[in-house]
Amino acid sequence: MFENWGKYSDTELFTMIHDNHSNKDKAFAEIYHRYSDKIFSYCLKILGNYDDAKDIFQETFIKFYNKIQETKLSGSLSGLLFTFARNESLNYSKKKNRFVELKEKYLPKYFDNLESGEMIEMLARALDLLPFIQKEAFVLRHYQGLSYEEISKICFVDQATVRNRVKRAIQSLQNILKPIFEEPQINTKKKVRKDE
Amino acid sequence: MYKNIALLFLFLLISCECPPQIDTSKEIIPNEHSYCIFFNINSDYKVFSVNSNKIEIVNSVNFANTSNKNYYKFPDNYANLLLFSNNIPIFNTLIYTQKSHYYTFFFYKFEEHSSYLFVEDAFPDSLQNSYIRFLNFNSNQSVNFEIASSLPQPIDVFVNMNDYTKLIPMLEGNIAISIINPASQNLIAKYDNINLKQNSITNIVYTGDSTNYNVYILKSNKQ
Amino acid sequence: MNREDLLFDYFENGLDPYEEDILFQQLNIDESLRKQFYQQMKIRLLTREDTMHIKAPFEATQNIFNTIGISKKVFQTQKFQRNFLTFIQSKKVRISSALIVIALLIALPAFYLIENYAANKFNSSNANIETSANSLSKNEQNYPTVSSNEDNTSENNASHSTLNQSNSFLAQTANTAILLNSLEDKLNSIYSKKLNKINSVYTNKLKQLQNLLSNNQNNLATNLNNSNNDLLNLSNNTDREIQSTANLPFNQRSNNILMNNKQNNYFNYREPVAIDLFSLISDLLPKSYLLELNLTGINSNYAYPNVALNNSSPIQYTYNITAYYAINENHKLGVSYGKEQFPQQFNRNIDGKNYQQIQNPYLNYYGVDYKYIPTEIFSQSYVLPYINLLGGATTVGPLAKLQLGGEISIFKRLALTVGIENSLLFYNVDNIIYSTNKVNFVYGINLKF
Repeated sequence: MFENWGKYSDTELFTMIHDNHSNKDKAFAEIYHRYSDKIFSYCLKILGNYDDAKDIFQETFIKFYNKIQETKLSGSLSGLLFTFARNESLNYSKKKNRFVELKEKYLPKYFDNLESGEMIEMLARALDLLPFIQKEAFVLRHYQGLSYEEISKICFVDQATVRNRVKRAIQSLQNILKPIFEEPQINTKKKVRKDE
Repeated sequence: MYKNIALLFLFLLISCECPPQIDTSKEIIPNEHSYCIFFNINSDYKVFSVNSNKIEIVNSVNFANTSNKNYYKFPDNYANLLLFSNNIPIFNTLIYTQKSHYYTFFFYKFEEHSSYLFVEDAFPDSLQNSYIRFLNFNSNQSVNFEIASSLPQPIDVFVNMNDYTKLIPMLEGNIAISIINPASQNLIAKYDNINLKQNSITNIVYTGDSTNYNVYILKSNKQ
Repeated sequence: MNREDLLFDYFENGLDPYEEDILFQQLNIDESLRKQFYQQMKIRLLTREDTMHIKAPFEATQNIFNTIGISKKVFQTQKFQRNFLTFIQSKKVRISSALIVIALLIALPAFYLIENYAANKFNSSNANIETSANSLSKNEQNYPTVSSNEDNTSENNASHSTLNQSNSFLAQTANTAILLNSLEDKLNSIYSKKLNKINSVYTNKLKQLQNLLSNNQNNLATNLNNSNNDLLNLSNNTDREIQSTANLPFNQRSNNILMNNKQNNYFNYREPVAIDLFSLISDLLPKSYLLELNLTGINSNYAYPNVALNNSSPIQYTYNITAYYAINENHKLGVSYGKEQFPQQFNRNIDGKNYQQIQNPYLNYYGVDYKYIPTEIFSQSYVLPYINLLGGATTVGPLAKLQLGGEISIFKRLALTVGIENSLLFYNVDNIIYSTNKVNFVYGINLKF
């Protein structure tokens, strides 16, 4: 009943779909299961809007499946999926002209002491104010945990540029969220343990 | 009947508490791993725990624990290294290790600040398989370590301030170490009967400043 | 490298010792840098916390699978698995499922016992009837077969008269009307599906029985009337009693139903030969028992996976308590509760890295037991071997146990038990099923009451 598809590597799953294997549907379902949350998270953070993210997320997986025959897996499968998601997001944003440069008027003026959930929400709002390239680099690096090398492949820039973009993104976020961080108390231990 | 039993079995199997969440003593070992050993010679922290990617690698690393210690399995490639003392993160960094390689982590105090050294234990090709390494974390002076062993001549090793030597292969057995001020040639300290065992590394760490000094003899066993 | 770069690289890739030293020096003297340090750490921690809560929307999943034309079956399996797993792993479901399992474990044996009690009662009645029937057929010289024809009439009459004389005990004690109805019902229910020929045979037998019993009633009246004569002819009467014992076609067991005796005679102990303290106490107790309590300690001898933890849990006592209901002298059904240590070794994926986890937790378990004792072979033995099967559940998964052992009788109701058992625990981590296999030595006491 519960067939263990976790034993297949990403490359094996990709090859199954690519070579039109009899189990390609199940292979796709497994890939979807592995990366759908990550890709949706990427779309949501990049686009900042749930409905837009949902559309782009759907497009990403549909295009990935339809174009898999013409695609070669040179790096990681997650990298490939992020590239698809990125292209879709860029096209979508160009049409909608959604991305705006960081301007003073967008900065939040006042925050109370916030609970963790609210801080996460504030961070998401702050992220939405960043330029696309910074936001993208930050999301891939910190939300998705990719290395500079992986990000550079997805964004088609060198690693130093990725580093600079991430750095600028963090500085911008710090500026935006400065009022929140008046209390520098942290207790990560509890959270880390809970996550286990 | 058999169908019902099978359904009950399946229900029990998937509805139950997930074993990783049981609150019990556990060891979580990375499948792909390097070997790391952790030493605490920072007097500000009597004990700390070592974590990586939400996993506790070592429960407690006590200050100046000089007894023989074994290496812990640490996730290879890029992995986060996070130290907690009294549930407060005291140190956080990303380290790179190679699968099956050996590393030593020293957490020490240098000029009143916490600092660390993460060094690969590159075992030199040698007939001997006990090793010694000298580390000078003293913020004031360079030192000379003089090794008196069964060899006819003592060996002098000069170590700069905030520097360390490679692993020096030695014959197993007892040695004596003298720490000497290279400028004045005054003897700072002498330690006799340091036992070098097979497949072990003995780290001689010289710390302190212009007024006080400490020497730690830290041993690790290669697996 | 400026200090902002140092700070950034510290969190991103780590610094070399020299650079880090510079950073810590700066941090120590500069409060604004310290603030930045905490802010950057906070941003990173928040992002990590945030990522874990984001899940792909289900409607998008549905659209994707529909659009690319993956068969509904694959999609629905995916949907079912994901929803089902999410659902059953919720806290409420876990609590309610635990309650259901406990209720089932209690209710199932109860239902089984009720059913068996009814069936057992019925069977014992049948057994009595069959015994009577066998006895009847064995005494063919007294009870002519149904196939007897007219030529045998005189012989039949002669036999009847013998029986009429001999069955005074039956006639005096049995409630004839109830007995007749009962026999008729039982015979009908037992033989209704048999062939017509056999059916007719037993119908005739029934008629014969009816005749026999009606004659007995008449005899009862006759006996009462003739009691004075009987007293006078004591020697003749004694002869009749002897004759009746020889011909009476039922034994003590078949008598029970006739006497409406409801005692459960599963276990008939021998009467003590000498009077001592133990036998005196046991004589005070009822002759039969239905319940049994087993308290055992568990000592693990072998376990796979063999787990050696550096920091193991404090040692706790491992035990099992079972309460049995004796269905009969061979078969017992019970419920168990116990605590045992189950070593576990499994793989986990945490943040894309694979880890092996080992642990050795103490788990409580509940279960249903079935115990078989071959008393036919070892009825006179002081050591009764047994086989015990357990099906149960722990908090992590289902458990099965097979135990082979012996009950060493101390005195009638108390026995020591020793045995060896194999226990098998199944558990599920990330949809992979693992198992723990243990061989235990068990020892304890068994009390019957």
